[in-house]
Amino acid sequence: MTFAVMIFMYLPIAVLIAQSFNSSRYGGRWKGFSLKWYEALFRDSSVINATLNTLVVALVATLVSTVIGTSAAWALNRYKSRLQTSHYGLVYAPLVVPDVLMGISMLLMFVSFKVELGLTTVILAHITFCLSFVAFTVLARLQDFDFTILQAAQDLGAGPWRILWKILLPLLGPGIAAGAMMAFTLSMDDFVVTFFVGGPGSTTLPVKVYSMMKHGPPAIINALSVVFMAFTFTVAILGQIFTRKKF
Amino acid sequence: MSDFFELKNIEKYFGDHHVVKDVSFQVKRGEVFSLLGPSGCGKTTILRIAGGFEDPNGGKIFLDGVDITDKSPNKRKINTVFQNYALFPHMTVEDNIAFGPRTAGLEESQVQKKVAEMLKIIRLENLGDRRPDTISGGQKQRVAIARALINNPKLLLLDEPLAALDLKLRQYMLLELDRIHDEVGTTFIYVTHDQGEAMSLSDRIAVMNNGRIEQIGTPAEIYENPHTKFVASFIGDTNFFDGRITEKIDGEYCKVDMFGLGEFPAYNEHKLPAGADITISIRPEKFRVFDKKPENENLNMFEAQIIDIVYQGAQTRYWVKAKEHRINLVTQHNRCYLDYKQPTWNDKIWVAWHRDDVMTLPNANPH
Repeated sequence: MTFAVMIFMYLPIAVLIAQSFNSSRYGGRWKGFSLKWYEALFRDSSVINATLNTLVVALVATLVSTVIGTSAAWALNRYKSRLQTSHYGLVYAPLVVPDVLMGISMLLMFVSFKVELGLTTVILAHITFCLSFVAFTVLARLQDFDFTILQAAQDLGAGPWRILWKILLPLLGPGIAAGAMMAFTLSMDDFVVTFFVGGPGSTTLPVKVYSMMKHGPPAIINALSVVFMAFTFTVAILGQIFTRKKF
Repeated sequence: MSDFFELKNIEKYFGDHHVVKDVSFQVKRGEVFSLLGPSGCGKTTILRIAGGFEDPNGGKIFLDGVDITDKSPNKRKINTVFQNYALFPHMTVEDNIAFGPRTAGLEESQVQKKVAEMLKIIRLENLGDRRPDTISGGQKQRVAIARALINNPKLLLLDEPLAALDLKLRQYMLLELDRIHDEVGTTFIYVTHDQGEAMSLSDRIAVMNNGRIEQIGTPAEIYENPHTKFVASFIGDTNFFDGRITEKIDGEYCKVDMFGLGEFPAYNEHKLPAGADITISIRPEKFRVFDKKPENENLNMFEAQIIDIVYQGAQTRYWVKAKEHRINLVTQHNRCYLDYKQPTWNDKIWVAWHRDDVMTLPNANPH
C-alpha cells in the first residue's frame, strides 16, 4: 500500500525529471539525452528575472515574518490578558483561510487603497501568511521552555545581552530557524496569493511556470520545474536538520 | 557573628492580595536561617524579594550595611538555588557552574580551577561533561548549588531545594547541604514547608503564617516555647486545651483552669493577666504515665482511660480519654519494653506533667 502511494506521489516527478533531459520538444517518445532545455532555460532572461524576484520576495518575507512572528509568539506565550484569545485567533486565521480567499481579499484591499500592484504587494502578502507559520513554530518551542532559567542567568550576574546570546538564542534559535525555513519554502512555492496580488514585473517562479504552460515550449518548463524543485528540496532539508536539533 | 543581612518592614501586594505583611528579620553572618511555613504563607515571595526578583511595596533590604532594595538581581552579591534547579539545558555541568565566573569576566584558567574545586565540593568530579538531562535529581540539585556558590555570594538563597526529591535522597541531601555549609561557611536563607528539614539544618527559624512572621528562634526555642497556637501546632505534635487563668501565683506562674480537668499551676510565659482566656498546649512526650496516683506534689495530674495504643519500637503512643478530652501522649522506652508490665486497652491510668512543661498561649492573635 505504502509502495502504491509512493508510486502515485513520486512517479509524476520522476517522469518530469526524465522528460527534462529528453531532446524531444513535446515529450512523449524518448529521443535521446540532452541538456538543451537547461541551456535554453538559462538563456531566457525572463526566467532569470522570475528567479531573482522569487528570491527577493522569499528573503524579505522570511526576514520580516520571522521577526514579527517570533515577537507574536513571545507575546502570546508571556502575557496573559483577555485580548490574547483574539490575538491567538488572528495569528491562527491565515493558516486555515483558503489561499484564494486571502488572495482576493488582499487584492481588493490593495486596489481600494490604490496601491500599485508589484513586488511590494507580493512581499506584503507573503509576510502576512508566513508570519503565522513562524509564530506557531516558535510558540511550540516556547511552550516547553523553562523561563526560570532566565532568572537563574540574571541571578548569576548576566545582563540582558548576555542572557540573549548565551541562553535565549542557543535554546530558541533552532525553533526560530525552523520557522524561518518554513516561511522561506512557503513564500517560494506560493502561487495563488502571488497570482492575485502580483503586478507587471513581479512574476515569481511558480507564476512563470504557469504562464509558460500556456505559451512557452513545454520542455523548458520541465527543466525549470526540476531546477525549482531541487532548490525547494534543499531548503526543506536544511529546515528539517534545524528542527531535529533539540535540547 | 554580626547582623549582616536585614529585611526591614517588608510589604508585598499581588493585586489585592497582601502576601507579605510587615516582615522584618536579621540574619547573622555564616548562619543557616530558615523561613518555615505552610504553602501560600509568603515565604517564597520573601526569598524572591531578597534575591531581587520581586520589588517590595514597602520596606528596605540591607546587605552588609548597604541598602540593596533597588538593586537588580545581577547587581546583588546574592545567589539563588531555584526549586526546579533551573539548570541551563544546553550547557554541560561544567559550563553551568562556570556561567557566573565567565559572566564576571574571570580569566579562563581561573574559571577552570574554580569549577574543578566546586565539582570536588559537590563530589561530582566525574560528571563535568554531562548535560543536565542525563544526571539524576540529586545531582542536578548539587550542580545548582555549585553554580550559585562558585560566585562567592555573601548570601545563598535556597527555595525548597529538596522538595522535588524522594525521601531517601532528601535525607542524604540534607546531610550534604549541612556538610557544604560547614565547608564554605556562606550564609544560607532556606525556605521550606518541612519542619524536619528546618529543624535539622537551621541555626534559627522564622515560622511564617499568612504573610507574617509568627516567631523567630532556634529550633529548640520554637519547639519548646512557641509563642502562638499556630507555631505550637505547625512544629511537632501537641495537645490543645481551652482554659482560663484564674489567678497569678507569682511573677512566673499562674493557676489555670483546664475546663473539665481541674485547676493546675502552670508557667506563665507571656505574663498574661488573671481572667484571660487562653489555649493550653502540652506536647505528647511531656506527659508521664503512672498506673496509680503518683506521690509527687510537683506534678500536675488527672486520671484517664486508655483508648488506643500504638507500639512504635523506640516509643509507644497512647490515646487516652479524660472527661471529654482526647489526649495524645508518647512514652520513651529507656528500658526493655517486655520486662515491665505495660498498661493495656481500657486501663485506668494517671497522666502527669510538670508545671514548667505547659505552654500558656494567648487566645487573641497579637497582630
